[in-house]
Amino acid sequence: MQKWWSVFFGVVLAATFGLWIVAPFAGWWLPPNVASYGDQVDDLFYVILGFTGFFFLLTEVLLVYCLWRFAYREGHKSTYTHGNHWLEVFWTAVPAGILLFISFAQIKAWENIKYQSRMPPPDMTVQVTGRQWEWRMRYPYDTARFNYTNDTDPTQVHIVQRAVRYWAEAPEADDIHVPNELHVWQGANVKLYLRTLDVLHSFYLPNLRLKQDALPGKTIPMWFKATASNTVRYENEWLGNKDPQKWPDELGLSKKLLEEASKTEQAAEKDKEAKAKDKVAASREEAKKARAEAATLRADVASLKSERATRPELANVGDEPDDLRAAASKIRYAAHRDHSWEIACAELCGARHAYMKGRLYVHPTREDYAAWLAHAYRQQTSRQP
Amino acid sequence: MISARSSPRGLRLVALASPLLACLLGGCQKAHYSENLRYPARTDLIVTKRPEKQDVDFPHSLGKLDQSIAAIPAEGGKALDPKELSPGDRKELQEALEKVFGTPADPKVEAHDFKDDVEGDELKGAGQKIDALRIDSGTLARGSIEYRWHCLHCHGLAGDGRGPTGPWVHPHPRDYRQGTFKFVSSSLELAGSRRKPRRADLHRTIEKGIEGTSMPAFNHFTRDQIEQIVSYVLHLSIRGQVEQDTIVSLIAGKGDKSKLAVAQVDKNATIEKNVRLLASRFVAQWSDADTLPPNTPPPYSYTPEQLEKDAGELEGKAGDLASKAESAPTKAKELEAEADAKTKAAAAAKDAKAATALRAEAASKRKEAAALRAGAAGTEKQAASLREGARIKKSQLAALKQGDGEAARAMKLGSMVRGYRLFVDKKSQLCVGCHKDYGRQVQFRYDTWGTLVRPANLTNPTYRGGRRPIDVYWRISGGIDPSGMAPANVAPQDYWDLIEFVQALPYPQMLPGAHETERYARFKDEKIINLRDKIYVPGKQDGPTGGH
Repeated sequence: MQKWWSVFFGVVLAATFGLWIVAPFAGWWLPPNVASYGDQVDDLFYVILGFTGFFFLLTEVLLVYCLWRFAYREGHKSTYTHGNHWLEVFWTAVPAGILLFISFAQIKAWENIKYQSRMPPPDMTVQVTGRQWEWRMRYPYDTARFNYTNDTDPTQVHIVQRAVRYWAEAPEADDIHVPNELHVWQGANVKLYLRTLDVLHSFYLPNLRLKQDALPGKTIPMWFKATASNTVRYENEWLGNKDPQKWPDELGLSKKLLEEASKTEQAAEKDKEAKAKDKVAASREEAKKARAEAATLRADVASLKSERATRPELANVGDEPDDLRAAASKIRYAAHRDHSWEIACAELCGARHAYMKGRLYVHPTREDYAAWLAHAYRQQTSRQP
Repeated sequence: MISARSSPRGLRLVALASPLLACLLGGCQKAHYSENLRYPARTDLIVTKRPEKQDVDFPHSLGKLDQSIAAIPAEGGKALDPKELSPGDRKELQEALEKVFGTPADPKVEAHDFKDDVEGDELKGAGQKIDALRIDSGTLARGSIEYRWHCLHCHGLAGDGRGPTGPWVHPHPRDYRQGTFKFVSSSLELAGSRRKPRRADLHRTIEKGIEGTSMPAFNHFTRDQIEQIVSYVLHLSIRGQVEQDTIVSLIAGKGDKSKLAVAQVDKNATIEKNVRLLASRFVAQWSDADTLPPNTPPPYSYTPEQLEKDAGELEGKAGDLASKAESAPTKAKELEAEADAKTKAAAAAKDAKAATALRAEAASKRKEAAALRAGAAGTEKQAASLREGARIKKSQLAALKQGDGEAARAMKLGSMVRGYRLFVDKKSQLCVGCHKDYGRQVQFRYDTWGTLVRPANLTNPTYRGGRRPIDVYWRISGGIDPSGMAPANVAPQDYWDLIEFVQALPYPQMLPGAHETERYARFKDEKIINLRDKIYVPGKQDGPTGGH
């Protein structure tokens, strides 16, 4: 009976450990990752989980063992030991080394996600305002208004960045206001400007592995790029009309976006040709970049292939990366049919924060997004009951 | 020894494991109210007359609603204390309310047909009205769970706006028990407290939230969820109003049952009968608001169809006036001829008295003729201005048809300018009477709940009732009765101009500036005022605050 506590702790801890092992297979694990930088975050998560898991196991096994071994025994007298100097040096140095390792290992991910200077040129801009208990999103009427490219003159970029800051803090007449709904399109570099009207909030997109605290009085930029969509095509949902050219568009809004999209595509084509012509002159950096791209593509394909292996309905999908990706995104959509990629407030400082939820809608294409925006604008400017 | 030690161990095991077990067994089901829970009896003061004061300084009692209501009698208003009710009456009222409205766990609304209502209404088809308003007990039971989960912490168990977090938010959460609401789009045929909101209004408020207050948007709820909450809010509102009105008539009549509203229908008046009558009456009022067509705006003045129609109407009116002006000279000549004949007759008359009378007649006829001639000129002018108006509308129409974006923009700005003139008109005091300096220099006043409120600061781009033009139309045309905003009552075509201006007010950078005067003065009547100078006063503006 004296060993009751060791048994109790042993069972509880074994159950905890078992739960941890079972969780990924039972679907109690991380939500599907749809962020361009999500793998970096997940890798870090697993590294840290590995460390903490190892030490958790180690210390708990020791704990249970000691509880068992040194439980009260009739007639046994306790002995007292003094600390071991070298043991203490060792268990201080090892965690310090691990902390140092983690602090260096995370630099790359932090730089990619949080550094303003490293954020890619945006394709669209949204301003997000946290308020007890909702997220208010504000979209500029012209989606491409604060866009620039890698080739834009730095002074021009500076001007645009100042303009967008001003816009993020002072709403304009033609902004589109939509509470609790963040709409983007697949593959867009989305720039968000986060503000709060009252207390601290934490803007959290679990599927995008993006979390950012909002501080009163500050406008904080963040960015993400969604690699999958969760929203059925706009024209099927609202219009039953598949030709984007025929969408009702009093304002030329989606037409403008369409034109711009085709322009970007043309520019990209030209760029490719130019690169093909002077392959020899391609700088070392470009080669490096291409190699990195190829590596991610290979990893992508590998993961998609493994996904294909586990799903019988994908048996007929070809080896082309695009085919694989399309099939994979279809599966993801089917799994998240209810548009349930959520926006949460991770600053759990009150019961209602659990209800401070929004939804993330990732449209499959830019045209879908533009059509949605036109729809939202029409609703906001409605003169009819 | 062992048995004595094992029992605390067992207890410890239970204590450790029970939270875990409770979590596993309880799951995440939304728990309902306890069956034993009753709606609390009203104890807070009932504001029967709000103070007329319109220039209250910044109140230091913000967040202390009951203190500020307690001070109302001293400020010139009236408030009744429900504690004045005799304990017997209070008990009877509570029982009657429970019979008609049930408990939080089992809410319902009972309504009956009354043959001859006090206010002359026919209370018929109560059953159908309950169904059409969706306040049947099934919907209410589901609504009650949702309300408990999402609304109660601010709006309170009885819908009194005094839930646990209520005191911490400003503006105060809505108290439903007066049966009045601010953002209403019901028909303008209904007036005063009879003008209940439509279900669609409450739905909008829940779905979109009230920007600028602590009411969040619940737009990720399903339609059914929101509808159930709307139903439950109706239930609380009807219950609260019945309770309030009965208490008021009991206190005013010093407990005399013959002073109750029901006494005029039924000689053996009891509190329960009164509760039933009032419940049926309010159900009928809510039903009227929901079934009558909503407050519909006039057609927007700047669509091609409307421009064409308006131009035609103006031309028709101008034609009428012109023909009137044309016929005036001939009529004047006829009158003058008559006058001449009278003068001649006067000269020929022998009797001096008759001659003066004839002369006077002649003089008056001449005066009439002169007036006709002078009037003709005015009428012609009027006709010309109408024709000019028609011409402008036609040119606007032509420009629109050609797809001229600049013309459309100029038209919008013209509309804005007309709205500005209406807004700042000092004679009519239409808007500036209350929204002084566009609402930036306004002071507090009392609303029907006894709360201190102030007219909106319109340079701030937050719209509590919604930011769509139709929402702004509803606020302007129907007013916000409980807070003292009167309906605007302007000519139908003026509404869209006012709305255009009000919606541009928060964005001075988007209003036409001096350098753009020439560019936008494309039509003759669009005399551009430099709105930027009129509206934007540096240093006075609240400054960019990101939508709050």
